[in-house]
Amino acid sequence: MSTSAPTSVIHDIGYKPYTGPRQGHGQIVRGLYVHSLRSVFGFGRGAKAKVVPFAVLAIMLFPAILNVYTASKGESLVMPYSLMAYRLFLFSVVFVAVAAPELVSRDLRHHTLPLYFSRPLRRSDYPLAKLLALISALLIVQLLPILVTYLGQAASATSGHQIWLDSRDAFPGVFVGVLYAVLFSTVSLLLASSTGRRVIATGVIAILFLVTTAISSVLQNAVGTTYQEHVTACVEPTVPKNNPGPRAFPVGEGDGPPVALVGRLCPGVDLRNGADIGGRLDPDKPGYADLTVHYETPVYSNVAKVGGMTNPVTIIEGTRIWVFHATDSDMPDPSPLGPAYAAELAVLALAAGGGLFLRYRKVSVS
Amino acid sequence: MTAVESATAERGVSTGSAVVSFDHVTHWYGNVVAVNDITLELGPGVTGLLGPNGAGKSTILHLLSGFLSPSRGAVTIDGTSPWRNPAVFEKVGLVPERDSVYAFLTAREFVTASARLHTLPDPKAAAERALELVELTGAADRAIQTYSKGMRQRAKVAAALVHDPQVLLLDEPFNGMDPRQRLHMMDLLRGLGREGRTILFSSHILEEVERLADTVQVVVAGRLAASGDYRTIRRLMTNRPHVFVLRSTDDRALARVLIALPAVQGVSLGENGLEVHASDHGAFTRELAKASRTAGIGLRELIPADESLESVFAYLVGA
Amino acid sequence: MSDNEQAIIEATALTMRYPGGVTALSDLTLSVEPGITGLVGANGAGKSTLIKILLGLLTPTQGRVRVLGLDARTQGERIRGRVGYMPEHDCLPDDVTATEFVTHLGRMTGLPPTAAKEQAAEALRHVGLHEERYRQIGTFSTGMKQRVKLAQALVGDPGLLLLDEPTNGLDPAGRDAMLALIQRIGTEFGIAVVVASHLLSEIERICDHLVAVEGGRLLRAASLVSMTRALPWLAVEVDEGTARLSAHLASTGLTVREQGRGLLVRVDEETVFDAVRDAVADLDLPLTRLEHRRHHVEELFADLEPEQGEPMEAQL
Repeated sequence: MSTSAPTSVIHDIGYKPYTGPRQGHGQIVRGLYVHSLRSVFGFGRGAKAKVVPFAVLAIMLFPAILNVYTASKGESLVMPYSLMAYRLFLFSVVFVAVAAPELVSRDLRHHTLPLYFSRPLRRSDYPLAKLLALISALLIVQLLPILVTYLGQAASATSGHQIWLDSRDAFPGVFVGVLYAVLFSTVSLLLASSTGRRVIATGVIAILFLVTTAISSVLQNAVGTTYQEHVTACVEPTVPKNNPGPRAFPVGEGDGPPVALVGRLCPGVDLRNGADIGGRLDPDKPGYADLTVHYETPVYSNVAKVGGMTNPVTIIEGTRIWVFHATDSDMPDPSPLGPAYAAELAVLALAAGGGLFLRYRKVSVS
Repeated sequence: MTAVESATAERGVSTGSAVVSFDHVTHWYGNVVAVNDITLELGPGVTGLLGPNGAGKSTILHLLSGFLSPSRGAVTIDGTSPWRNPAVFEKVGLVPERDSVYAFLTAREFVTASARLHTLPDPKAAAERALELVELTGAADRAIQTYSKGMRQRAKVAAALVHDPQVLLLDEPFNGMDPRQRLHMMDLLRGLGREGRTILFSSHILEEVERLADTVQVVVAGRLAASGDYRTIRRLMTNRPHVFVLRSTDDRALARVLIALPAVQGVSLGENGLEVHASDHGAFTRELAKASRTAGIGLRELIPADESLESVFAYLVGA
Repeated sequence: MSDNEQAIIEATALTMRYPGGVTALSDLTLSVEPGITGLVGANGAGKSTLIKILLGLLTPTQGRVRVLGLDARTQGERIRGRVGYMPEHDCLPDDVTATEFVTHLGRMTGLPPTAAKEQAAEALRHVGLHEERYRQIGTFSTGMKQRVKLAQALVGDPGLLLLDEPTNGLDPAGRDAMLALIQRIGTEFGIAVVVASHLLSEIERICDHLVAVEGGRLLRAASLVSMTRALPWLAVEVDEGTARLSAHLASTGLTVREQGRGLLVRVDEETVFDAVRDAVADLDLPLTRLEHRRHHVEELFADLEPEQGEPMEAQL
């Protein structure tokens, strides 16, 4: 038997050239996009960086979870699809105020851009990848609650027709979510690309959104809204004392009519802005009461309609109202300015995006 | 003659040479001891202040220029402390490291302003002289922001020279200069040193210090590690054998001859020649020629390998 | 095979005039061979303009330039995939580990994900960063940061490395280490290197060739060997007895001149060496230096060109 003794050898671990495949700039952009998207959610940057994005996501999902619950009980949604983004806009602002500086301010602060541009990456690739990454991140934040709600509804749907109706309800939510993603991303990235100091960028973005919110709020509500009084008379059945729900007025031994029914049985009444319901039991018809309802409806002046154009959030909401002829908004109906809102939205997004690309055209390499 | 030399020749050697001295100076910022028990004296000529980053060079310059008062010990220029003492202050010119220049001014405006700040009787003439000295008269009416790095430095030097100080302090004056600008500045400083001014410049680039300084002060972590001529300093390090590189007509034979000498501690053969470690510098240098002649070996090259400022500095910092 | 195919960089009549009126480059023609080439004298606008043009990021007003055989005007993107650039200024983020950063930049050069990881690991090993590479770059010393900068230039296996002041901010020991590293890369790795530096001693130490630019034009392009040719002078230093030695040597018929701390002896034949040796031995003098004087790169920039044969005063 002969087994040769193992020979000793020093292995050559000197420099070896790379002979493998090289990717084109399309793949490189995709790589930068993925890297940026991950960094928005804090991956690759330690635990602290994950706090804000995931907290925002959790908060946005909270109403969706409630929706799933109420859907399973057959009740109406706690927060409808089309209003989710609008009601929770503050958290979208927080999200981009933190994410946009993370994406672009860091590279500015550390002067890393020459390292990117001395590579096969075109000048426009950098802002494109960053923008797509932020839009994708925001889309996740906006659409995940919609998806969760939809699945919850679908799971407890009673018929295919029900699912169809739910889908029809969900679509405007998706539409709005996309609008939020695009507009918020372009604007916040443009603002963040003006400075390398993340704290300042966050502040500027937050201030922009909050100040415009305040302005539009003042214009739409305080200045632009007045109330018109209405009086209606109607007849409503009373209901025994033990039934639940608030009553319009107590009637001696008997019971007044439930307030909840007033809205349904008295035509044209809008109880949303406070109402004064007075009345008495109908002497001719036992079990019924004659009601006199004083209520107010808001009247929106032109100031209110134009006021909504000062704030990205209300611009989107106004566009939604116009496109879907929505009546459930908390915001004054901007018509006939609806098309103006939509046009303004498009212009803003394009201008911000264009500005972002222009910002990176003249970057020095050394 | 260059303009520098002719300008200085005209003005002649200034009377009186400033003696700059540190007497057991210590200075701290909070918990950081920037300068630790330093005693030194500087006279006319060019001295290089050398040390790693953070060793205390800038602090020393600020103490000398009267911006700081030492936490302990005494800093004097011609016997008086420069701290809050305008009379002494007038004897010192400081060229700081950072660009503390208003870039929209022209050099002439800047230097004239400096002259006015020193309340000179004829600021314009003083400025003109200073600009001539640094050879900036041609470009003196352009805004400083259009200048190259070298010209900016020269503008700063002119502003520091406008009141004809005996002591000129420069903090990293050659930073970012290209070779030609550096040579110009070195010529300028050499000329000023020959006039009898006391010039102290700090640097961490040994090549510059080696080229320009007559003497060096080496500062390491706030302490003064060595002063004087670096070659002499090297000789003073008797505990380290001196390293020489030798080439000859027969290196191997010479190696055999040399290792027999008691002054030689070690010899190694390489492709660039022989490397010799000599524990006794004096004995080795005297014996080398004789020993090689006796052995019939021709010497082609003898270079002291660790007498450069770089090696001396490395030893001082390492120690 | 013509020389053109060998050249790493080939620039012809390169001119760059900016709209404001500044002319950064003026009719610059140069050719960079494989090996380590020093780029001297270009500062500020000229240097950054040249780098941008070489990387295909800027179109020159006039002239042509080819890098690694590719036309910089039309194939800039391909050039950038094959050239590694190490900027002069700080460009590293604080809060990312060295490994992650170099890997990411490897991806940005066009390496597929796995290859980027492997190449990054190798690049970091070659520049001498070991377990530190898993720490955040913000915790690194200047020397380590410069190595990371070099690693990111190296990660894509470039055919050409453009290093801008690679020893910036380093102490002497760090400078030595960086220069040794660059020399290894230039000689063993088979990568052409261009080092932009204003420290001529560095250039003399590691470069094979030199390109000197001034005022946007080519001042000189030559091999280091030709620029550091020997002068016919022998520098002789003794610790004492210089005057006696000088007299003795002169008396044997040699041309002797005093310079600085020692003597310069004209050497036209080999016999001069032995004559010097014997004189030193006879006089029992301590010989501290015997050196054949050479030209220095610095002479290019001195206003007064040294007369042929006379070394500059400052050399000794």
